[in-house]
Amino acid sequence: MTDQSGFTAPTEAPAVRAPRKRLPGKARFGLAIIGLYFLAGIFGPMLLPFDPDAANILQRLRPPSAQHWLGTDQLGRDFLARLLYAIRIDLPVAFLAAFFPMLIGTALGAVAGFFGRIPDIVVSRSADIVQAFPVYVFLLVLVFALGSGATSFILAATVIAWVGYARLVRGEVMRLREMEFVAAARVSGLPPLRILATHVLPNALPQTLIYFMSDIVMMVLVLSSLSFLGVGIQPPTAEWGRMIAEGQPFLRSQWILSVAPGLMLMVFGIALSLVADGLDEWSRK
Amino acid sequence: MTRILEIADLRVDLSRAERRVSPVGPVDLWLDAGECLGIVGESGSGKSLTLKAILDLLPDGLTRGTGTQKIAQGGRLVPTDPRSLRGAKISMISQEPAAALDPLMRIGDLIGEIVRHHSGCSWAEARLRAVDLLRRVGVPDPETRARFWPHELSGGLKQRVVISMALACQSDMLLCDEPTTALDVTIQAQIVDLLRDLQVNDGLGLIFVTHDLALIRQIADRICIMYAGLIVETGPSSEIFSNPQHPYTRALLAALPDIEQSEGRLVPIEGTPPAPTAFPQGCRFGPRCPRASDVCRQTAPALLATEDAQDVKVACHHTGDVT
Amino acid sequence: MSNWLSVQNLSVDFMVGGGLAPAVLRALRSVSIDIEKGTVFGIVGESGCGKSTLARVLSGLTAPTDGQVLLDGKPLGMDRDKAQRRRIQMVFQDPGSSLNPAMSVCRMLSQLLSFHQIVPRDQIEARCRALMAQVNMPVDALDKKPGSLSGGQRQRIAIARALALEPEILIADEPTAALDVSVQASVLNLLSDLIRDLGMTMIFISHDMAVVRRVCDRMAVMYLGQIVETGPTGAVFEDPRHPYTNALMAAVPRLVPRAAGDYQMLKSEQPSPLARIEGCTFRGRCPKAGPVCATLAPVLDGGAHRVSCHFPRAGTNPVTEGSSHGH
Repeated sequence: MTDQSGFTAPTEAPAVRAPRKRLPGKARFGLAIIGLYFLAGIFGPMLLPFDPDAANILQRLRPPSAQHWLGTDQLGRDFLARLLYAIRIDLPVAFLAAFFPMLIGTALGAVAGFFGRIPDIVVSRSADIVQAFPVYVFLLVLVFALGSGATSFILAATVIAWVGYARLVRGEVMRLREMEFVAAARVSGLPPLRILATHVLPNALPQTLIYFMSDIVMMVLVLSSLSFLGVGIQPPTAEWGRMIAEGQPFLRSQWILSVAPGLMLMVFGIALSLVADGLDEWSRK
Repeated sequence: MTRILEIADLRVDLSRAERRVSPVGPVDLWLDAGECLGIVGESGSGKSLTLKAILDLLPDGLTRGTGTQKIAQGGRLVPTDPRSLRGAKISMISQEPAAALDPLMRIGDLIGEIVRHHSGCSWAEARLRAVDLLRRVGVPDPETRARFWPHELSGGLKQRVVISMALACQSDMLLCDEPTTALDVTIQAQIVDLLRDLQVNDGLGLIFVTHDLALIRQIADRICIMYAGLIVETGPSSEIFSNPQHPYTRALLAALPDIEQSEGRLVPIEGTPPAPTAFPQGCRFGPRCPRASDVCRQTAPALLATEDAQDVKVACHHTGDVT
Repeated sequence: MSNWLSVQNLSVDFMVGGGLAPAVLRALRSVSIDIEKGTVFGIVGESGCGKSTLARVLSGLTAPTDGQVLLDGKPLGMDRDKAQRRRIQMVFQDPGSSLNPAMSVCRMLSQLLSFHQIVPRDQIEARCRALMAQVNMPVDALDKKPGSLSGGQRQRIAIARALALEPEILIADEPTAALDVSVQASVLNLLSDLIRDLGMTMIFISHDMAVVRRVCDRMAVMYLGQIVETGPTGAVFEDPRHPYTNALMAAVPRLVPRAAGDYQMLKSEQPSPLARIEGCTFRGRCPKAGPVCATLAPVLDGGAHRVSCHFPRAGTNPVTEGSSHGH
């Protein structure tokens, strides 16, 4: 879905856009799918009469049945319950792992782009240092150092992913800084931080939000990969990446154990990408 | 005069519209050899689209509608496909000359390539011809400039180079789409002088599109005033400026500051021109016209010759009503 | 002549290219202007002549390399306080980019009104409406964002933004260059009315000679960062002394065509502002240039109508040709 080229996100945005436009169909379609995920994540586990973490060795690896709609896993847990319960882990963790970098990266990028000089040197060089390491290696090292779990994953992601936002926002702010309406605000005597907050940043926001959307997809995938490798979310908590890994030995007999969480990931990723894409089109109209 | 271009019922349509929406047309145009036709109008009047439609160079989302286009070939007018005319019978220069110049080729090679394409001569000869053409369009020190890259030239010189490329094509007609709008006024005067010289001495036919009434007065022999996609008044330049008939032409002239005058208030035209999707019924200028009456709101006026001047045509129900 | 707003020997150099050998772009070369209160001062010239740089220095956007701006005898630098900023406001050229696309007209105006505490908080909305009336805009425009306004409407809003601060000086940098003729007329009329009614001083920058003639009381013609001629607008138009002014006027297309051969067209183009030119900067294009022009830069000289040329055109009024004979 998202790749490293996301770090050099587009800086071309129209100077003026017409207000009140309908969101493109694909964005609305994507939002509908995400809405379904939310509903499934909130109500699914409540409606199913199973504890997603309760093992029952006697019931292990059962095929789909009237009782267990998607069968059971290698420890005899209801697979559908786990699949839906994982939404409660994957989505919030990925959201926060993209949200904190957005906050920090946007702030740093805005200051660097608007004031230039020393703030810009500090921010740009720090970004260079972070980017000098391969993303996954850096992430693994950080997660190892901080210990497994959701909190350390979010922390580690923040340390790394702010760079993308900082670069994007810095570019946007540098472009906007030269616009006449910013000059007009300076002539009217508004202090620099106020100009940045009320005149520059609101115009950089659409691009940032679009990047945020695709970053969430990225973070879901990263979280799953780490969990797959065993350093993300720890068992027995349900998590798609971990579930894919755990289902691997049974790929021939019970392929659904790996394929279903994979599908959950994929559909979610596509939905978010559709929203990001649609928003991008929408903001350019 | 020999007629070299005759277009009837020129129309530009939106390609993807549920009903037919025509930002331009129907418009009739013709051009004689060595004549300059000026098309003048405000932004959104369709003047530029009209020009682009002649070569079918319309932007995405627009298509050239029906209509016939005849071009002089061997002494008579023959219906011709617009696309086949590009870079041959008809050339075009635009507001942004850089767009017509390949940034990766030297000026001399750019022109030389066209010369070779049209005459099949050798490279060495083509280069010499290129230098000649540059000299013809008034590029100072043409031998040196022929080795320049496009980005090394100023806007005025770039425009001269594009004109020389049109000459290299041996076109009969040059379509000029606001070619001097991005230039300073002293450079504009030079370019206009050059075009005038090519028109008078080489018999080049010009169609010159601009928003600048004073400029069109200076360069055009015959003009068309466009409003909301239609020609509202057309005739010899001197006639139109000394005795404007259409209320829109009059209003435009009243709104225009003239360098000779320091006193008197300018009169703006109230309202805004309609969008192509919302052209009013009847006369398109009606909603902004001080003279509009019921007939104007119901039926569109046809472009008709006036009583006192046969070569002037005006599209107004009230021509001659008021002096 | 009172010098209420006084620009003294203003120079602005920009470093371009960077690296080991940065070039110096001399945007303004020792420009001096005196402007009387309540008048309209026009600045004309072609692109690259420094007229916009002058506007930016006056409005406090660009720092001068040398020289100063005095308002009421007090220097006005880059570090102006709130109250000083308020005194000079600007209307920009491109109505497409001079308004924040993400901000409604109402929010933009209220932000300024409350920041400068121009009216008490509870009267802000009423003042916004009054401003709309002042620039002939319907009140419902307040809720709109610039994207849904036409070019002419946006320029009115930009004027309202400047007026909100009740400035003493309004700088208009090519305010109608992006507008159609019919719309330009209404914006020009609006500006003239405001100047007359509010007693403001206006600095009107334009490349359009016809517009300058209509609007301005006095004017200056700039070429390559210098003023080559300045005086009352009528005098400059009817009796242009500098060969450049003369050529500039002659090059403007007219509705009533002039007789052929009435003027000499300028040869070649304006040299790069990076070039170092000895003597007169205009001599490369000047039909009158003599040997003295290559060695000695002329000085802006004369009474109310001053010209910077060794060989000014003999006018209808006697002119002191101090610079051409003084050495």
